[in-house]
Amino acid sequence: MLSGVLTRTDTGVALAGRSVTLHSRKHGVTAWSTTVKTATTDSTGHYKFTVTPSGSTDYYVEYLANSSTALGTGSSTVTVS
Amino acid sequence: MGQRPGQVDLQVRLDRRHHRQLAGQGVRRRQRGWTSSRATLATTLKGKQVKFRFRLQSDGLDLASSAYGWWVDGVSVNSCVKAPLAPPSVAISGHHRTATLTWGAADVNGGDAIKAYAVYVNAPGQTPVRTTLAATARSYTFSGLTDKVGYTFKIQAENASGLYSPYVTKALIGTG
Repeated sequence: MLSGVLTRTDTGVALAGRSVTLHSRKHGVTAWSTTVKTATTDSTGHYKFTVTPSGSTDYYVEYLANSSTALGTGSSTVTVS
Repeated sequence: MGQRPGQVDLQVRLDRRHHRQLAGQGVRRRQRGWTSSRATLATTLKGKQVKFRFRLQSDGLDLASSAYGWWVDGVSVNSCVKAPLAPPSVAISGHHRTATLTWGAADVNGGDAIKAYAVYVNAPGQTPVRTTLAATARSYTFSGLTDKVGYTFKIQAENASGLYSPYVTKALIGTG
């Protein structure tokens, strides 16, 4: 399972009800897959994805925002072997 | 009022008083009355004091000049151009590492055509970065924004007289 929390960086307040996407690629490959998973942050800003990697796989989570109040952000890349 | 930016209308009246002083210099009675002139001032004179001087000539020769104590009457400065109002309907949309600012035409232009829009992006503690856009522009996308940082965005309109509207400011919070 991959999980994290989305917050405002100025106040640290959690952002609930925001859509985040999980990107993946085979480790060692440059391009990210066009297939993504989507989750919504809960009332405490947390999100989670259940993944079943076949082989070593890179993941990162992106918040696109598309908002009149916030900018998006991206997580660091994690590799699951 | 019919003037273009920087235009000034000047009127001078040659009356009986002046006529007596100019007696014997070729000025005839029927030359009394008002005359006018229109001058266009360079925009570089904005904010500076300007003196106007009339010369009365006959056959290419100076008969009199206001520079030598002669009277200049009825000088009227009719520059009507003001700063435009801020563009309406300004909105911001934040994305991942980009933001798009949109706005409507600044139709209250202060009396002179809108020449450009200036948009600014500003991260906390940094100098705002300005981009100048054509008068036809209605949106601009700021790219290369940094994750986890909040930004402020501003826009103002500029008319052809070089006068700027007030800013419209929008802000986007950073997320992480």
